[in-house]
Amino acid sequence: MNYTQKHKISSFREKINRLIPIITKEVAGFEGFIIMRNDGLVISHFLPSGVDEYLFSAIAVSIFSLSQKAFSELDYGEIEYIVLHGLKKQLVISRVSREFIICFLVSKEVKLNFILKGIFEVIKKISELWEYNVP
Amino acid sequence: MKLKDIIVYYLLKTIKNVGISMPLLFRRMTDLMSKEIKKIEKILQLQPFSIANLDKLVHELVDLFVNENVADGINIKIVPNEILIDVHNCSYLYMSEEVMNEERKCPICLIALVASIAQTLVKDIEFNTVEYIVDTENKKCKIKVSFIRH
Repeated sequence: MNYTQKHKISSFREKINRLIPIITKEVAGFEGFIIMRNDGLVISHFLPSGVDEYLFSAIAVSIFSLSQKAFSELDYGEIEYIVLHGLKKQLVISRVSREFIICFLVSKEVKLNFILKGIFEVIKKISELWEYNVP
Repeated sequence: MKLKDIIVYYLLKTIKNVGISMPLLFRRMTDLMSKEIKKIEKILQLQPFSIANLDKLVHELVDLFVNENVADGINIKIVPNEILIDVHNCSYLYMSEEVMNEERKCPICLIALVASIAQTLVKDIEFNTVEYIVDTENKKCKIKVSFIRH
């Protein structure tokens, strides 16, 4: 993790918050999202009320890092995204960059390829925000 | 070094071994402990902490370690957006010793943990990162716990 860019976190957070209306429309079946640094620091979120964003962030990062550990043990390289397909809903956890992870809450009815198309668009926008983020 | 020290070390090593990073564990512990600070005060039979004043709070929390002889000396300096801590002869230094740990760095710094708890308890401040340099030869640690102001 590159901690030298920590001064950029506040301005990055503000920019992501401004992007929330676009994120909610871009992803098919969107029901929520959270973006966090890979140590669990919550950058921004749009989660159902009553969900503890700090706990949820830690769980999502854990799922991603445990899965990455499994891939590493098998020498399968880096994970791009993980889909958790439940009986009621779906979760898609994806890497944004080396430092950030994003998790989307989506309805079960929408086909995965439509969901991923939107998610990749959002990730592209967020990556650009971070890359060109000047505090 | 005692058996319990080795067990604590291997507990942390196992958590890391299965894929949970220490910075993630550190942040989660910070959040949980700060949420349960009243319970901790009660268990340790302490006066309520000064959660309105970061400087005072950090000293109160670090003093707990001093009183328990965790280290010979702990110096704290608060600068804008950072808490700088110098520690001499920490009793957890064994976690960084080569015989124990090939990375020669404590998996989690407990003194940094209380600084991050202090940051979480004070309003309008959020814990950001922790960095530390361990000098096992001279038994000195330099800790930098940074925070974000809202």
